[in-house]
Amino acid sequence: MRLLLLGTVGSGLAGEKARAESAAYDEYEVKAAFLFNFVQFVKWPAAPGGQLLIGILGDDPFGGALDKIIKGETVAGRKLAIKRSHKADDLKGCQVVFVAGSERANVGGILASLTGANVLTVGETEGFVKQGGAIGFSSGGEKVRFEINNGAAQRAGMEISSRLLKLASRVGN
Amino acid sequence: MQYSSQLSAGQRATFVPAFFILAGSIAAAGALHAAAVAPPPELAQGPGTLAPQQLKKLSIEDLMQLQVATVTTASKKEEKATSAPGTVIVIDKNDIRLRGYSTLKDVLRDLPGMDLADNFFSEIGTQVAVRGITGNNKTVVLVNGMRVNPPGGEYFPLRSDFSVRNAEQIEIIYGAGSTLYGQDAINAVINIITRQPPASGKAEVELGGDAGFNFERNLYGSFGKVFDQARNILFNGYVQYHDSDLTRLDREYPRYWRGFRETAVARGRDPVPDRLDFGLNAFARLEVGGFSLQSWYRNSRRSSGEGYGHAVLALVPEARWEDSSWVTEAKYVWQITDRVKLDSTVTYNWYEVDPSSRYVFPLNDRQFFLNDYKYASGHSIAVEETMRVDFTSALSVLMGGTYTNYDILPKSTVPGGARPGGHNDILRQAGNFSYYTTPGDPASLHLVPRAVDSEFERYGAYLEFSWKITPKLKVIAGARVDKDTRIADPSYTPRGSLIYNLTDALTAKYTYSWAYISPAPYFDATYDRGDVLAVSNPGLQPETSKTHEFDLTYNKDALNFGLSLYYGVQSSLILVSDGALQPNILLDPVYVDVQGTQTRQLVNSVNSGKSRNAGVDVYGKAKLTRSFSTWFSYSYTSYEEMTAGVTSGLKGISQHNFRLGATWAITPHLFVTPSLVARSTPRNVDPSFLQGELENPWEANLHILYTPKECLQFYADLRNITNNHNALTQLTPAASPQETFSGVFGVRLSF
Repeated sequence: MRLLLLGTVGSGLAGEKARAESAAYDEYEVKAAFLFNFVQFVKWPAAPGGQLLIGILGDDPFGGALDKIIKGETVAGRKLAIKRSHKADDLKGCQVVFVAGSERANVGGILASLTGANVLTVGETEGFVKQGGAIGFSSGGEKVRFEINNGAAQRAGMEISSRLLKLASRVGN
Repeated sequence: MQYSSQLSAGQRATFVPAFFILAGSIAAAGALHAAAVAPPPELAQGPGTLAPQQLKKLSIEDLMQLQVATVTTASKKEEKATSAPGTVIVIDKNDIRLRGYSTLKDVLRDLPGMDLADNFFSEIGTQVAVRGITGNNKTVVLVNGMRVNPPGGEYFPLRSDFSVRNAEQIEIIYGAGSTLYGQDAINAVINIITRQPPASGKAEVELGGDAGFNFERNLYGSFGKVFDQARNILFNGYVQYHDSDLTRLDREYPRYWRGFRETAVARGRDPVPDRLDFGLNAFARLEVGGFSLQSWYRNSRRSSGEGYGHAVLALVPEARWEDSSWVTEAKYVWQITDRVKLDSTVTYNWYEVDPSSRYVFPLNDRQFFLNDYKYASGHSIAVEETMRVDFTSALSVLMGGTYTNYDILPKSTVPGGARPGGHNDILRQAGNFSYYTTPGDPASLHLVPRAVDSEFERYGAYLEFSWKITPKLKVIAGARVDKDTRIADPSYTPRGSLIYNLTDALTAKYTYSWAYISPAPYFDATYDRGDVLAVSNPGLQPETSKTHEFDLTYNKDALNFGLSLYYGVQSSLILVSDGALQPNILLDPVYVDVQGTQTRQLVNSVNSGKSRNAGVDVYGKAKLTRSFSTWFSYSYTSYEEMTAGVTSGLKGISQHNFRLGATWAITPHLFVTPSLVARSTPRNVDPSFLQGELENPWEANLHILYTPKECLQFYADLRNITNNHNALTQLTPAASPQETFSGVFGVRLSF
């Protein structure tokens, strides 16, 4: 009972952020929000009126969440849009390519085929950044974490902000 | 604690519903201003409170704090199902909507490892055997983590008064769960998580109703609203009403019911069995900052003659069983630091059998005995403190302490019907049974109180570590100790689990856990059944269970697959005094008259022997195309019990269980969900008048959902569509006929 009384005079969770943190989220809704954030932490050449394309390679795991998140959004004056395909070659015109878990068997080949295409690669398979991807979501945890291979990003002509690099659980080159 | 006992029966009957009626009135008023929410199932949001459009407004630092958990029950924290110890199955709101689940028993019927006997026994309703072990008293049922089992240790009354329509998801944790949940968590822990209202602040209102065959009718309403996001002030609640005449079993199984018909006609009664199934369930939850208050109420009324064999207990209008539960919990969540959280909980749990409840059976060739009134009541108040400390992102500890005070009057015979006014009054009203040990000797008279009052306390403490040693390997180790003031020795229930992520998609788990069943006051019931005289046994000890379990789960893209292998040993079994069997018999026959013409066998509930269960559950879900998804499970179980030198097997349940279901989105607005439950012939059942009905019973169901608009849904729910005649076990070893075809057609509005 003493502990209970202590509890009533303490500061409880409050506010939208606290409510958000106390609930459990669909993994891919959160990853979609991360992806939207990643796009904003990269310096893109301005191209007013143009599109900034996010490619989804493989089976789309977002279930419409990414579409909802980018709807009506622009980054560096470019309207965000999504392109889906099961072939890496189809997505070479995208600025960002998310390599879905369904492609885990061929991540090496996909990254090789995107080399030189100036694409920010984001993946969720184990060892994605070690294989040459730029940003990889970590698996297995209760919170979404990510790793960055800054060298891979630089080789693709991308400059990732220092803030994002600080938040990554691991940064390699 | 004293509040309930000071109220009259009538006051008690009306007080709790009045609370919910008030809540419903508020809900109705709110509906006038409500905006359209509740998208169709395929567009439903995830379980978090913020929609994707709101998630994108969070900073990346905030996003990193979000839990992408799917379950909370296995470890009392949010975690992925694959990271939780043991077998974890989640049924979410889309499953509930698409498969047409209305009450909890509908959900359990489709789960692997479960074997349901719907028409089991009035006091219990539907019996759920889990992995070969029977007994609704061996499963802990939670609503948002609040324990709703009756406090006296009764078999969980699983009837039509436990709604799941407002559930966000239902988490089922198989196996021994006493380390975190204490007594009675031998078979499973089931947690119904209710929906959170939308964070947008718009009121969410749902109203629905359906009706169909057998005069079945259901009404449902829910309301939820976040009043102040910044201060986290929200309310949600629901009310569900159910009534049905049930199917005409006398017409479907005429040979089985012949005995009742002849018994009824001989006594000038209607030969058509008078059956009914009424259920009312209501829930309300208020959150203010870190404080929450939630209350859950259920009331059920059924014919008391169900499931006890033809012509033994009569299905006449006087034969009714009615009981109610009301559980209220106040909780405060205190986030002391980023790494330390304290939950403080007080829970009040009340249960009562309506004093008009009674059994009716033949008294002689021309009359029924109408004075076998039953009564039970009890309440408990529990205080629990749970602290969670995250030392690092890989190492955390959960520790807790509980105290519960019980005041229980277990099921008793009260001639003339109880007039509740406190336990002592009931003890006086009930009086005594008397028996003689020597015929013709008045001095050999013994008196046995018909009712007993059990007041006791229970203390518990638990500690569990969770350590992610490597990114792939997690170890969980914990233990609990409970001390019951009625029992000399404490109960210890440790748990250990190794969880290894073989790949991103494949996880292996090994879990070893202990559990125990409290010697519930319910098993101290005294009664004269005509052949046995059951008395209480104050020396009854806990029944214990030790379980090994190996799990393999595979989750990749649209495929979820699970395999569970288990082996358990249960010791010091609590054998209930249901009949004149060893080792329940206490003495040579006793006599209820001094002349010694009427004999009884004196029995009580005892601990004896042990049992083993072992088996495998295979289950999965797959989304085969954009418009077609399916689920399946296959379960094999074996059970062996050794008591009093006798070895017996599965208790009237099936060794093989198979489920298959699919949802086909014919158009974006029309969903068709057929499902099948098939089992092998139940073991060790006396077929009685039923023969072919026992062989490989199966049942096909169909749910059709049409959503012409986001706020409007029509549905048809058809059960046992081929009108199969099935029989399963009941309280006695004899087979019991199960319900035949039934169905409802309904409409649901969401605002």
